[in-house]
Amino acid sequence: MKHFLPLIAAFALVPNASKAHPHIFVDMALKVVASKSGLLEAVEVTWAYDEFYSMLIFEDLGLDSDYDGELTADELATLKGFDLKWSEGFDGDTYLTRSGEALLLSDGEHLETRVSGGRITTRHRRSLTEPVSADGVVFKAYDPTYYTAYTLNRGLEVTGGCTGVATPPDLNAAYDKVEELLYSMPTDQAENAYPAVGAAFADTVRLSCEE
Amino acid sequence: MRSGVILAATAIAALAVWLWGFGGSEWVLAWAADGQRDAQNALARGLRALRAGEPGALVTLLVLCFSYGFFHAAGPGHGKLVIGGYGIGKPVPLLKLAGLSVTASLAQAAMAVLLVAGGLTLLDWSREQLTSAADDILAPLSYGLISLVGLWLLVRGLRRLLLSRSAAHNHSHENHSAHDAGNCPSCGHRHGPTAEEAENVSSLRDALAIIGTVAVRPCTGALFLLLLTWRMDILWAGIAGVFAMGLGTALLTVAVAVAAVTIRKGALLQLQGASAVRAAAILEILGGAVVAVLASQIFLRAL
Repeated sequence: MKHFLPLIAAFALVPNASKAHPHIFVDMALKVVASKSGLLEAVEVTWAYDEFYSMLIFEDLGLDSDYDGELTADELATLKGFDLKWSEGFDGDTYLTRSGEALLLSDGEHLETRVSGGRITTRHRRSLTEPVSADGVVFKAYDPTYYTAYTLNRGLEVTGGCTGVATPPDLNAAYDKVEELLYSMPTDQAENAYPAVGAAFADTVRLSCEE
Repeated sequence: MRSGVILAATAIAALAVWLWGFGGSEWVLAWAADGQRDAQNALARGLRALRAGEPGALVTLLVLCFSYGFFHAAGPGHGKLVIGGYGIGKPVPLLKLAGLSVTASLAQAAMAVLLVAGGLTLLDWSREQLTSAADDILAPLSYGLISLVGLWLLVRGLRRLLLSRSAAHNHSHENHSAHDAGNCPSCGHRHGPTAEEAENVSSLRDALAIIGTVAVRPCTGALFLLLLTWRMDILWAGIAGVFAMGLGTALLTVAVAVAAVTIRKGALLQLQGASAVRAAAILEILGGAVVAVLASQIFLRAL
């Protein structure tokens, strides 16, 4: 049998401006873990891949050979962690900022891998390298190149007496950004600014905590 | 006449934004993304059904592929960019333009089949290598070709504009407005071709150039489908599906072409003689410039 593809995750990670069209659709849930005193400790991210991409991954790993959309325990063990082997330059598509400063996160820690109805759902945890006050933290999930489209539609949970407000992307602003890149910027500048396109299409979650 | 050209120019600018990959209204993008997401999920189920030998599964799969292609083209595809630009820039009858769209989409599907068949059997490529060949080599190549087509249209338009200038100069003693108003349908001499005559200008070379630029870069979704069906031992269904995708893409492109030609027709309808030639030349320059600039920028970024 031909070796089909060993490096699934890496495939989506190669930055390439021409891949601006979403080809992978991921439904997402977010759990924000904050302490009672309002310190942000970690986020738990759920990714539910679209069925077509799930199927590609099954094929690549040689799983679900009976095509019933369900995996055996052994197969699940093979699948486990498939999306957590991050290559150099891949940030895990989860971005936290506070007052405009990026917050450093640990690598993804596996929590769960499930398959149901031909659809892969995984959950992983990103801990903050240095916990900060959750108040005013902004969360976004996106692939900078917009090859993968994330949609926060599977729930938002915030612990520790804090609350989160999710805002869908302002598509008009996203277009303005794209048009700005296209029409007004010199090419070399557009080159540098281009990766921001994915961010412009992302849901935003703002955290606030009572004093 | 001036207001007509300004109107058409504005329409081209608006259409260019709409044609642009991310462009259109936010509604179009959201709609296309939802549609593609739904089609993508359904596609996996369709493949499973086909593999399980369920009756009617092939038809279902082909319909799904068709809608996938349609929604894909409504997103940031690039086929509609060049066809739309061509439609505005050059006088092409609608039927011909639609034929061009369909042929280009089918050629693109054939290219995907060739790439996968060649990559899998001859070179033993992995999926990663196949898709990166499509994205890293063929996509820049395609955008490069598209910008060349844009430049070509632009140069042709400039030449035609200059020609019409000198023609207008030679006849400057005539009272053009009287002729142009249609009060004198047969004055014995002509200032230039009518819009209808202009529309008959076209060549096989033009058509091949357009088809080539679109076809050279197959869509990633088509590659995914071919690879999946190859692994599932139903490659023939994948090949049929990819062509169905191509037809779906063509449908959207035809819709864009209809809009492009309608705008062009509207702009040229009231114009006759030298002013029509000049207006057509200006439209061609604008259309060509839009395509050249947009495609060059993608091309440079894709390198």
